[in-house]
Amino acid sequence: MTAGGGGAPSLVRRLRRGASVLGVLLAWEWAARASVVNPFLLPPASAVLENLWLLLTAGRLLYHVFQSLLRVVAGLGLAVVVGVPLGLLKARSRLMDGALDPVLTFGFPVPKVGLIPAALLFFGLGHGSKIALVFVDALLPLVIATYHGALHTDARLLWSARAMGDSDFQVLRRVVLPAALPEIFTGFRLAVTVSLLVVFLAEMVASSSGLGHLMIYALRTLETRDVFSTLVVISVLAFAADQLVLTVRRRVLPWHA
Amino acid sequence: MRHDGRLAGYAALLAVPLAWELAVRAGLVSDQVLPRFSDVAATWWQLLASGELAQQALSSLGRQAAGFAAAVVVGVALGILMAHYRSVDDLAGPLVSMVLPIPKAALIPLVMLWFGIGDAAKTIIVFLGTILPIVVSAYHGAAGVDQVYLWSARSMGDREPALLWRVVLRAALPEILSGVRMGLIISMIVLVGSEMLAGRGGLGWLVFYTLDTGSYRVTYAAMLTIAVLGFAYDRLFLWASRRLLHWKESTA
Repeated sequence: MTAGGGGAPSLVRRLRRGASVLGVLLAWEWAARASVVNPFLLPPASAVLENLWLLLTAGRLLYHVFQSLLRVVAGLGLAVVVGVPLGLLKARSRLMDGALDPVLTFGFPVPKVGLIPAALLFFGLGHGSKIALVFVDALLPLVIATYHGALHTDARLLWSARAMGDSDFQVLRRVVLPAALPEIFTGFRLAVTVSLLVVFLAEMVASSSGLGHLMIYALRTLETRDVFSTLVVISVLAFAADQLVLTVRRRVLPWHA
Repeated sequence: MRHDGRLAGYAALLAVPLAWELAVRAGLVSDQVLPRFSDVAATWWQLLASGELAQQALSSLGRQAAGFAAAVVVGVALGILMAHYRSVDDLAGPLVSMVLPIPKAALIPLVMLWFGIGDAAKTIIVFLGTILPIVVSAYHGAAGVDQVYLWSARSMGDREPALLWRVVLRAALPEILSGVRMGLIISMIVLVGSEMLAGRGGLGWLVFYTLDTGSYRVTYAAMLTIAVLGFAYDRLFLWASRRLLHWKESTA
C-alpha cells in the first residue's frame, strides 16, 4: 500500500518493504526444502518456477493462456459495446432510466456464477458458455459506471454543444461520452477483475481448456507443481491486465491524473 | 414522468417468467435446455416444502457467514493498523499489494489441496476471497481520516487502542462498508463456485449434482434460490449500512 503520506518513500523504507516479500519467498523455499511442510503440498518456490519454465517451453501453457484470454476479450468486448451505450442512454433519457432501474437493482447483487449451469446448457462446454458468463458479469458494472459518469456531465457543455447545432446523437458521442470516460474506465477496471474471476471459475467447473481447467486438472491428477505454476501465471496475467488498464487510462485521460 | 419508465421496467421484469414459459411452450427454446417456468416453480415449492432447499441453503450460508465474518473482523483490523502504524504497513502492505490482484477463483484449487473439500475448506476460501477488498478499503478509509479528529481525541485523553476504536473505525466506516459490500458479492461467487467444484451439500452442489443427473427443474430451482439469496443479502447489507451511517448526510 502506498497511499497517505506524500513523496516517494525513503530508501530504507523501500528496502524494508521489499524485505517483507523476499522474506516470505525465502521462508517458503526453506520450509519446503527442509520438509517443515510436506513438499508435495507446498513445492519449493524454485521448483515452481522451474516447472513453469517447463510448462512454457514443453507444455501447452500458451495454448491455455490464449483460450482464457480469448474468452475474456470477447466477453468484455461485447459488454463494452452493449453496456456503454446503455449507460449513456440511461443517463440521457428518462424512459430508459426508469426502465433499466429495476434490472440493475435486481441484477447487480445477484451472484451470476449461479448462471454457470444455464450457460452450459444453452451454449455448451466450449467458448460460448464462458463468453456469455463474462459478458453477463462485466455488463452491469459498465452500465452503472457509464451512467454515473454521464449523469454528471457539466450542463454548460451540453448547452454549448446544442447551441452550436449538435444533434442528440452528436451530443452523446462528442460531449457526454468523453465527459463520462473517467468513470467508464473505473467501471471497466472492475469489469476486468470480475471477468478474470468468472472465466477461471467457469473453466474450472466445466471446460477442457483454459488456465482454470489446467489448474483443476493439475489438482485432480495431483500434479501439485502444476497447480502452483498455473497460479503464478494467473496472478501475473491479472496483474498485467490491471496495469494495462491503468496505463491506457493515463494515456487516454492525461488531464485526469 | 420517471414513474412511467419504472413501471415499464418492473413490467419487463415480471414479463420474464411469462416470456420464459411461453417460449418453452411454443418450442422456441428446447425444454431439454430450459424447463417450463411453471414446472420450475412447482419444483421449487416442493423443495421448499420438503425442507431440502432450506437444508442446502443453510449449509451454504453457514460456510459463507463464518468465512465472511472472520474476514470482516481481521480485514478491518489489519487495514486500520496498516494505515495507522508505518511498521505494520511496511510489513503487510507489499504482501497485500502482491496478493490483491490474484483472481480469487484461483485460490480454490489451492485451498482444496491443503484443506480438502469439507466445510472448513469452503469457509477458508470465503475468508481468503473476501479479506483483501476489506483490508484495502479499511486502509484507505483510515488513512483518509481527518487529522483534526485525531488531535481532538488525543487532547481529550484518548490513547492508542481506544482512539482507533472510537475515532478511526467510525470515521472510516463509509469506505469500509463499500469494501465489505464488494467482499459480500465475491463471497457468494467463490462459495457457490467451490461448492460446484467439490460438493458436500450446499446450493452450488445441488445445482451441479442435478445438472449431472439431468434433473434440470431442480437445477433451475436451485439457481433461482441462489439469485434470491444474493439479492436478499445485498438488501440486508444496504439496510444495515444505512442504519450504521445514519449520521452521514445524504448516503445515496
